Amino acid sequence: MPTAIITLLNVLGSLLTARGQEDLGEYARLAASLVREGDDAHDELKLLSLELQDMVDQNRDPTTEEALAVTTRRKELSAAIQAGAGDGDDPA
Amino acid sequence: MKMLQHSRSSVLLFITMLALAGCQSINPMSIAETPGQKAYALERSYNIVLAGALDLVNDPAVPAGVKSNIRSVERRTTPIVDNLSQAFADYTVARAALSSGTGSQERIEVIAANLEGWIKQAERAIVELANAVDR
Repeated sequence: MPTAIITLLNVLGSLLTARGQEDLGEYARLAASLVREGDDAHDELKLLSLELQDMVDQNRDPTTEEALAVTTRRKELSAAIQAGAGDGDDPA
Repeated sequence: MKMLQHSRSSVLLFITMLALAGCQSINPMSIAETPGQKAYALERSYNIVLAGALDLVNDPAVPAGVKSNIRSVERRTTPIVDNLSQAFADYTVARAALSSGTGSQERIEVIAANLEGWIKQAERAIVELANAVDR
């Protein structure tokens, strides 16, 4: 990972800790030590940022369809995560 | 394999940090301006973390205890994000009512405050799930 990003995350960690968000600060430092760019999730976050910038530029909120698509995806992921529960898993 | 698992979970922590407070160029929460945009940014970010959690749950090399913890935390955090969705839907309806002259400014202020409250709770939910993924 580029040194600049490691530095940025460490600075971020310090700032968050200074603001009293100790847990978040610790996460930032941990991530800075291991994370790599080019990961799928990283790319998805980039795409989301571009979409949001577009919304801001157009001065609009998400449409009902956009909001529904996100909700539907969340329900699918949640169901898939819980689908294997039961193999030594604690019930809800 | 443990190294790979740790690296992947740390990516999710990284994503969480970026989503909530990190690098300007890929920080949805810093780009979002309206409560609706913030809610959308959080819900999409939460889905990214959920997708990572699903990868771990489906990975046969990940210990059962880790999977159990992820499922347990997910059962707590997803309903919070569901509430955020509902609060955003209420906000959208209230804004439309105000625009059409059937709503009141007082009403939308109450609903916007409710939405802001769920935004804060959803931020904590994302961190909680990312933390579970890191175990």
